[in-house]
Amino acid sequence: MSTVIEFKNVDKVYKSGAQLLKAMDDVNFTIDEGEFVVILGPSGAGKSTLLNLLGGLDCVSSGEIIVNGNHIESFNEDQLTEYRAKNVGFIFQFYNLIPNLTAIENVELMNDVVDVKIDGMEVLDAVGLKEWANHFPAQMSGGQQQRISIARAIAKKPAVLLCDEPTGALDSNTGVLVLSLLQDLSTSQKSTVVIVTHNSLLAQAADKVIRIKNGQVESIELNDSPMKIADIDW
Amino acid sequence: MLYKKMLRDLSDYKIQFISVFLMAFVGVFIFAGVGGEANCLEVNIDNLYEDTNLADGWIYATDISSDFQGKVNDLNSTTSSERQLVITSTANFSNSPDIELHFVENNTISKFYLAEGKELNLSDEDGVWLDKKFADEKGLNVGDNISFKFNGMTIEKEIRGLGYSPEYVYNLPYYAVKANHTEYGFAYMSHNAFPMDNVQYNVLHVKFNGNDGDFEDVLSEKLGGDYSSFMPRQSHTSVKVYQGTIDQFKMIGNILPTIFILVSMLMLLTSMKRVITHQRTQIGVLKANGFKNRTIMLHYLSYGFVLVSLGSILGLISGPIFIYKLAYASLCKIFSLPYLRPVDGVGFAYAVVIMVLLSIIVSYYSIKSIVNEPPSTIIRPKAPKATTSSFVEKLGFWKHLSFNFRWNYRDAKRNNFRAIMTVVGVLGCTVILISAFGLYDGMNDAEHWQYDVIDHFESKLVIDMDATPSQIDDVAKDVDGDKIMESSIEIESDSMKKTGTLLVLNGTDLITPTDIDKNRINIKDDEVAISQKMANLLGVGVGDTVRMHIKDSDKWVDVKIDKIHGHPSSQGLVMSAKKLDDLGLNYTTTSILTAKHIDNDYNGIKSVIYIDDLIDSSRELNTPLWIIIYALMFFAVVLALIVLYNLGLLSFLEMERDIGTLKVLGFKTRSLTKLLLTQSLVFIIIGFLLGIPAGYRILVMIWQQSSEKYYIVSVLTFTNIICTFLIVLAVSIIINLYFSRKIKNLDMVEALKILE
Repeated sequence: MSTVIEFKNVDKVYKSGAQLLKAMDDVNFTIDEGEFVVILGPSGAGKSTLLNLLGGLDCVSSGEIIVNGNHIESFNEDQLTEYRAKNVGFIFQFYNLIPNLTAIENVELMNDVVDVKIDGMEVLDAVGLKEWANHFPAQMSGGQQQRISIARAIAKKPAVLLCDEPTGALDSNTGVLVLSLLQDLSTSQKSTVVIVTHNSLLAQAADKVIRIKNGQVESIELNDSPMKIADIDW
Repeated sequence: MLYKKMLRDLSDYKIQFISVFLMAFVGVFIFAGVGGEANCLEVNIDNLYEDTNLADGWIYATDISSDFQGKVNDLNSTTSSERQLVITSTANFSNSPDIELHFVENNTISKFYLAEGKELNLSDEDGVWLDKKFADEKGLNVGDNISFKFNGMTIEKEIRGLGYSPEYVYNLPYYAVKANHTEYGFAYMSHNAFPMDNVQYNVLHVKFNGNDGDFEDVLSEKLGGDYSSFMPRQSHTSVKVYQGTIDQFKMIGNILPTIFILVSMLMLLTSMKRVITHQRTQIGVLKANGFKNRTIMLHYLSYGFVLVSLGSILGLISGPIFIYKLAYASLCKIFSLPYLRPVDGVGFAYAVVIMVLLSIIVSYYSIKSIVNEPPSTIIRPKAPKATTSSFVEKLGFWKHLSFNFRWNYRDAKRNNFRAIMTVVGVLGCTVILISAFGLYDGMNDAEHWQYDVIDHFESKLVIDMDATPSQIDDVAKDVDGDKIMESSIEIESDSMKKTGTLLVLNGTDLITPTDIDKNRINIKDDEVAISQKMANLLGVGVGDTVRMHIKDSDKWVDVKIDKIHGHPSSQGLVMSAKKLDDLGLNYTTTSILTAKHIDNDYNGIKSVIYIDDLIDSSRELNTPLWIIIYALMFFAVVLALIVLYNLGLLSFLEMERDIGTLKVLGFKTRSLTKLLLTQSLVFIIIGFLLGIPAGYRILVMIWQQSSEKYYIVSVLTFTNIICTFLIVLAVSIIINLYFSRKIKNLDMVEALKILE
């Protein structure tokens, strides 16, 4: 499998007045196409910073981030916007659906930023929410909203799906369903899925586990036989 | 600690709080400022009238005997009276200025107001108390001598004092067109200073109880025939012109500032509600930590209280001073007052109280709805409002509409309060701008109507009172002019009596009366036309009969109205000399009109007034009004800026997370700016469209309140509409450019954390 993502000596430093806070310190790793990757670490370890850098929401202080051969650390704002629109699918802890739009509209919203024509109903069918197509987010449960969020993210067939604590706001049963869906996408559609979480149990299902501590990569573990999400004892 | 929290919150939400403060400030500033100016003029003149004990009315006769005075004093309503001899004299200066000499009997009514020198002394035969403005222009001081010529006599007196008179606050002789204190003035002296033994008093100053009409009725009933005419205070030229200026200020001060304050209040409420709603989780945290509801409520109530109190009190203090300073110079040019002191805005303190109370009530209800929920609920962000698809959204074409349209439709539906407030805010600003521009257009239209449509002469030669008929005829022939008569009259209907102007024309083309639509009308030799405004005031129309008499004559005649004409600044009757004669009244030429520019001096001509001088004079008299209109236009734009900025900020803050999400999803800044701009433009257009008829309605109401002298047609010009739209649009675009920068610089990571 080819390498989709590569972090090379990535540093991220935040300035707060005269103080400097190093949120990423010489981070190096690679992620291959179709991998189901879990990034683990305690609060404040730098997981979200890593995801933000990878998603083009923030810029590195130094180092390189290469996605599908593109050096995104050198992208200007327009290129980053283009990158986010075409290469990255985001899934957030609080779903971040547009409350004004129905489920199908939230998915088809992506038609405005990508060139391929998205059939919202088809994608909703893939996440099992075809029947809820015309409902607004406020009329749905948290699990359903997160599945809409996944549908929106996968609709444009991005190079990588970035998930920030995707089950953080869900009960455990619903969380399992959502994670299973993400794992299925990785295995059946060969989508690269990167999940940031502090829930270490999820490591059992990952192809690769990257542990972050104090802004540094503490370890990278490869898992030859990842478990099915449903089989994990939550 | 909560106090510290309040200070930090004020700092964190500074932009919103500054706009709350500014709105309270601007609303009260204009309300108290413009209203306060009318108050200022009223209070100052009332003080002067009281200090000088201005007469309630004047009785004119060629010789007022002490017997006649006694009879007037015997009338039930009379409280006091005093005789004066008033003579027009010429002072010994190269330009022969006219000085009205007042020989006073007691100096108890309509007294001279001393500014410098000694008080008027009745036993002083050699002293004179002179018009200060005239003295200043001529470089005269207390102790200087001055001589006056009248009735073939010359008297020389020493100036004992300089000052003002309540009868000359506005002083413009019939032959003058612009205030020029080198050419005329007044002087007061004791009756003992009169060079003859027998002083033949010609004016009786009367103070009486009850209204003018009742006094005049009794006077006429008991003493009719013993005097020439009676003039109540409100008909005195000086009193009337000054009152006209007060009325102009009131006309504008009553309505437009009220709209200012209403718009400010609405916006203030929106902001306060939003700030409190935004603090929901913090309220939850305080409650969860054991803070009592009362403590939390007081804490949040203090925000609005502090800011709104500060803003509105500052507006209350500074508004009257600012507007006073703005109008002071032009008022001093028009009026001669010993003092024109600013009046504090205490009379408008109720606006502050209402403003503060409203902000407290809104804050109270906003907090109450939050604190009444259990802490476990408040500590979390409020669940998004459930939305259902409306009928429109279920229609087939909905899906084909652009994302931009669908987004904004749904956003407005979901945040209908904000949407309504935006429309109302824009509507309010549009109303103020349309009315302010309408006032501007109305004034210009009136000027055009009078000086382009009705008046076509170049020079108006004012006849000297001593001119002989042959002199007048010679001048008229020489300048190829038309003779006219203008006079003050009193007109009476069954229900009302008003003072007005009589214009007698001799088939001239240099003054062409028009109807109210500015179309020329022909008033035949045997017809009488009444002006529309006068007809309205008297409640009469074509076919009705009114009674009239010319001032200085007690002969009343019945006049049947044949036509209605329109005039922007002169209300009364128009007829021919033949008709006047038919009515049994004497025709006396008062001016000659000519299309030529006359520079020559003629015997029998007191002065020449050019049409441009008339225009300048009318503009000068309206200067204070113009200043207020400009100030209103400026503050309307300021208010529009604050309102639209504030509403834009509310939209932006409420949509920040959604905008952040869209940005993360790959939407370009341009598309997102377009999203906000579309919403803003739609609301602006709706508010603007609703504001046009509302603004026009307000304009009509304002003109309806104008003084009796004016009849100004409310005009809503295309330019007015376009200018208003461009201002609102420009303000909106500036605000949107600002927000598009905010979108560009929006920290996506932070925006997404808003809910967290």
